[in-house]
Amino acid sequence: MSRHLENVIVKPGKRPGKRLSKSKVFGSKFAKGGHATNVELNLTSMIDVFVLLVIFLIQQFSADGDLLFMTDKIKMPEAANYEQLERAPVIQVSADEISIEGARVATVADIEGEEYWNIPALEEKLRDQKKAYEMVRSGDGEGFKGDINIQADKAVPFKIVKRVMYSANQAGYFNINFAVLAGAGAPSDSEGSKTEG
Amino acid sequence: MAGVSVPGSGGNGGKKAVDLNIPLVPFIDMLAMMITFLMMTAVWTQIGKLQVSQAGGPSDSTEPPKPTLQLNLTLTEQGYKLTAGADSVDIAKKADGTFDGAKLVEKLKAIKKDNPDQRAITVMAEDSIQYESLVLTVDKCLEADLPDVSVSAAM
Repeated sequence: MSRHLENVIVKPGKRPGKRLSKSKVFGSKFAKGGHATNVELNLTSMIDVFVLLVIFLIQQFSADGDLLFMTDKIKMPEAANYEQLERAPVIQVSADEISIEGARVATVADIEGEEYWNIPALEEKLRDQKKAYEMVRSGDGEGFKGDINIQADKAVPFKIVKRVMYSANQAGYFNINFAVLAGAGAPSDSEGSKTEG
Repeated sequence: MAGVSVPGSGGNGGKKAVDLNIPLVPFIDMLAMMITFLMMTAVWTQIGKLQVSQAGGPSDSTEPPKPTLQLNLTLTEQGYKLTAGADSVDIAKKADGTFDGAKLVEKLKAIKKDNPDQRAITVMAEDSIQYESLVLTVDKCLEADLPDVSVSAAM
């Protein structure tokens, strides 16, 4: 009974004639179930790739990536004998402006015209930061170290940098760190330090 | 799902099936999530610092400094001017207009060899000198094993 129905009930759609279905050229066009639709994924190789990617990315992982704001305006110089960057207030010096922790405090054009060595707005901000640090850390017994990070564009002239340094000095920040990119000949380990402290 | 079967142990009417399915789907999910997280938090640029002190600022060390040579290095438009005590030597810029860092390291290492206790150097620069040249110079001083680099704002 069922065999009989199989011959009678057919799917709607195009059907070739008997002669055409036997044709070598066109016969395959109307063949039913010619290609299997089940494709097996090569899971083993995919997992291998995933694991390698994870290992590579874990090696690249660094928790101190957000210590500096990277901007297009500041192209940092390269150095080989660098140490690990630590958290400290960041002064950014670009060709146009000087900012601290991302907030602009002066423009280069303004301070170029001044005769004073210090940059009053910067100095004031740094003093505020120092006060805030001392207030927060007063109970820790950890003294104020006077560390500051300077992230300057490599084309900035020294006369701007020295005024920034002088302002930092006046505000009580004596340990100045020039932020640099790992350059040629840099140590390959991510811990990074070739020099003694 | 991946399956693992131990040949010869099934089909004997044994006590317990030893076919084991390792659930790969959650494992792949976890790997995919880890990759996404690590890609988002990846740091592609390695950043470091060159620590300098300002000439005239207080010193960190509690020990009294050992008597050493007064070593000054000045960056001018012409090149380096290295002063070690009473001696002074000029290192001209290279033909391409850049500072000759290799020659500076050579001179500093020679001084260091004669004065093994020497750790300090004071770097000064003319106003027009680019920050990149200053950083290169500090880097070269560190390379020559002079870790206490002071940068003087005054010329």
